[in-house]
Amino acid sequence: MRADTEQDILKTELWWTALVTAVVTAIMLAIIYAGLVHHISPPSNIETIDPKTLHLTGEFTEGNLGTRVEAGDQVTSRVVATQFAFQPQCIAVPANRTVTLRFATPDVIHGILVTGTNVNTMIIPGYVSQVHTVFTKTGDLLMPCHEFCGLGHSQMWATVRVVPEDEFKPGPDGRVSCDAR
Amino acid sequence: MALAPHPNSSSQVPPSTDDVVDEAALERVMREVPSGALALSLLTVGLLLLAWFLMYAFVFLPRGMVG
Repeated sequence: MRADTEQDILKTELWWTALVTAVVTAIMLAIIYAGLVHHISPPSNIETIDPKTLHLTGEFTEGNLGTRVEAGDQVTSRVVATQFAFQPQCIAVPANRTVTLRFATPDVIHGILVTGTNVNTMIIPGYVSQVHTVFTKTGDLLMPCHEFCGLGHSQMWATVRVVPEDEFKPGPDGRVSCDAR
Repeated sequence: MALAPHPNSSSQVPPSTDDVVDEAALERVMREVPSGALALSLLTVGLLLLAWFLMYAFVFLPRGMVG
């Protein structure tokens, strides 16, 4: 092979390297843009909890689960993921307001996503998962468990009911449940 | 009538040893191959990149803030 043909091939390979580097850089810039400008970031809450006693005291006792409007008009919804159900199985959230979803599990690793949104997180025993989002479309959204957690995993799902703002009326204790209205 | 053996059948005729490579022709071929591969690669990566950006713009960003 003559030398300049080898040079041609080298030049082509270097151009290709530059192109691929540009492509990867563009993708990373798009992700950074989405994070900084649109506030789309992976959930990164680091908070521990004792999985063995979370049902007995504290934030995730059964009476404290579901959606509650708290001080400062903050909407927080707490859900416990177990084998094989979410408790509660339906949460009501308002549209066009920041909602904080908090999850804990007493048993194995679960995961959730909410269809039609970017809400997607793992739920790991020993930790509290927290996701903030704004729901824009009203209606019932599906929230399945998306991390295999055992034989009943495929039947483990909940409903996120996005309610128009004017219909989102908390009770005197600030709680909102799905079957009100 | 017996079939005449195929002239290139290895059982009948020893293999040809006239295997000289035409260097000029080889040169021409070698010069062309990278640009063909490049065109295919650019097309493939281009389509994948387009698909990625379409999903990004029409699915990911519209699904709104999360964090």
